[in-house]
Amino acid sequence: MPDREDMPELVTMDSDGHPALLGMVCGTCGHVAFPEQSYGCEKCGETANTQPRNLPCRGILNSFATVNLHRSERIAAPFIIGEVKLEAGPTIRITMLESSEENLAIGKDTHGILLKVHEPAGREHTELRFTTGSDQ
Amino acid sequence: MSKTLAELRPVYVIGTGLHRYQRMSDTPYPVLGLTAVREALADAQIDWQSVESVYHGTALLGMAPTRVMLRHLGGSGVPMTQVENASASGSSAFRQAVIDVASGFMEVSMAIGVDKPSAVTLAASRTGIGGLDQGRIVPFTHFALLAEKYMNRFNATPEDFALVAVKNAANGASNPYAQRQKVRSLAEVLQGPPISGHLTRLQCCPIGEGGAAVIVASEGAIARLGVNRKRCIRVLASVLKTEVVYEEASNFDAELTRQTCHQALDEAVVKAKDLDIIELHDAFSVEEIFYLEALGIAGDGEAPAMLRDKAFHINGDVAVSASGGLLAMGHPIGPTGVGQIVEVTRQLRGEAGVRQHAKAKIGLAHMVGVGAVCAVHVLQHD
Repeated sequence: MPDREDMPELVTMDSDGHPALLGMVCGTCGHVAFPEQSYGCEKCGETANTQPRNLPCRGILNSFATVNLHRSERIAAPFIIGEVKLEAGPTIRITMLESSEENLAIGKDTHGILLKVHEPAGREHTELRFTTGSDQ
Repeated sequence: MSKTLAELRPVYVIGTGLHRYQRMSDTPYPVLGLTAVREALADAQIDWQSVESVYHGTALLGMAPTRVMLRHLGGSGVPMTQVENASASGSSAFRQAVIDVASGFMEVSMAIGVDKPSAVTLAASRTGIGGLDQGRIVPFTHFALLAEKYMNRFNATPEDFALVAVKNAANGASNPYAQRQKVRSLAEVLQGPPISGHLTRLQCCPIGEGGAAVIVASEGAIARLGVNRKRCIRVLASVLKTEVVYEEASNFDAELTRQTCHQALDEAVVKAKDLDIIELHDAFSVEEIFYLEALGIAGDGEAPAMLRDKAFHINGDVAVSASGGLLAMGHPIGPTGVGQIVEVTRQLRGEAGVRQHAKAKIGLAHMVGVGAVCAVHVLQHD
């Protein structure tokens, strides 16, 4: 299990050893949101009655797209972005582990994994990716 | 109690002007703006001193760009305000000018849009709330994801979206103010460099520079200034709304469009089927499909078939993006929403030249902007 310092921002580990997103739930309207913030519920405006909630990195692949071009030199294309409807409610967009669309399909189950990414300077960091693979 | 535009005094567009939208160049921005403003003043046949307020839609020029540009018309002390609302900056500036006149604050007001490309930081990146995308998801990928979902749901094809670009390129090819003035075949659109998902280069709007200006006035000012009444176009409705939490979270632009357009049509007492001219926020080809369905011009999943039948072509059922839209006319940000009003006005006057849609009486202009915001105006030739 990665150290907390090695975790991507906004991610933690659930008790089952799988990554979870640091989300929130509004105690007034029940809206589940990601990421967690203290400014107020964006559905009803509640500020006091909100609670942090870990959102398991599991859901359904809503859509995906291969990005072939990116203006930033630090982001190497191509890569695949997925839209995931989490079991816990929110919809997120995230980089997929897959480098080809061959095994991707809308409606497939998908889950998050933590991936070590090697940087050109020799350092490495951990990123959250989603995949439709069966390596969970 | 709040009021709609229909409950206030009538407002008319009396003058329009443009500087061609173009790739970023060495042209100073005052040249872009002054060209459009002088064309609008000449079109209305009024002088600069008759304009009582100015709203400038701009998102990219920086602080306080307006007076240092318009001082070259001669000092008049007229109030000038910059309006920033992302891609809807120009539409929002037009709305402010309309409100000035409708409320009785002013008799004659001007909305302008002038911008040049520059690197700006979206404020959302400084809210202190992080995100997962690490900068990887830019607008064309947002719409590529929505396109993939649409194709899956309605058995649509990449050709369905590409045909939007083909139509709008043809319109832009006969618009001397358009950034892209070249007819494109379906094969050219589809074979262009792939950008994201099924979106190719020609299905993504060019961000360039340009200028647009529109003058609005009250009936009293029209009579006093001797403006040709037959060329005045009534503004029936002006609605600006922002995003809330929707059930279908990802296509928030379409839901926001649906709500904003329906409110505007209700306030104008106009049915969607009565529209002759629609200028849409087609920054990406798929958006035209989404928004025509959200507007009620087409049923869910039906817009591609109507497009193939040329229902949205000039002299079809309704001319959509007769200017070329953002895809061909271009999207210089601040000018875009004002430029839509220019196109709708010229169409409703019957002055759109080779792009004229026959018997055009009622038009709608629609812009969305990052945030998300949506601005819709309905105009009619009395």
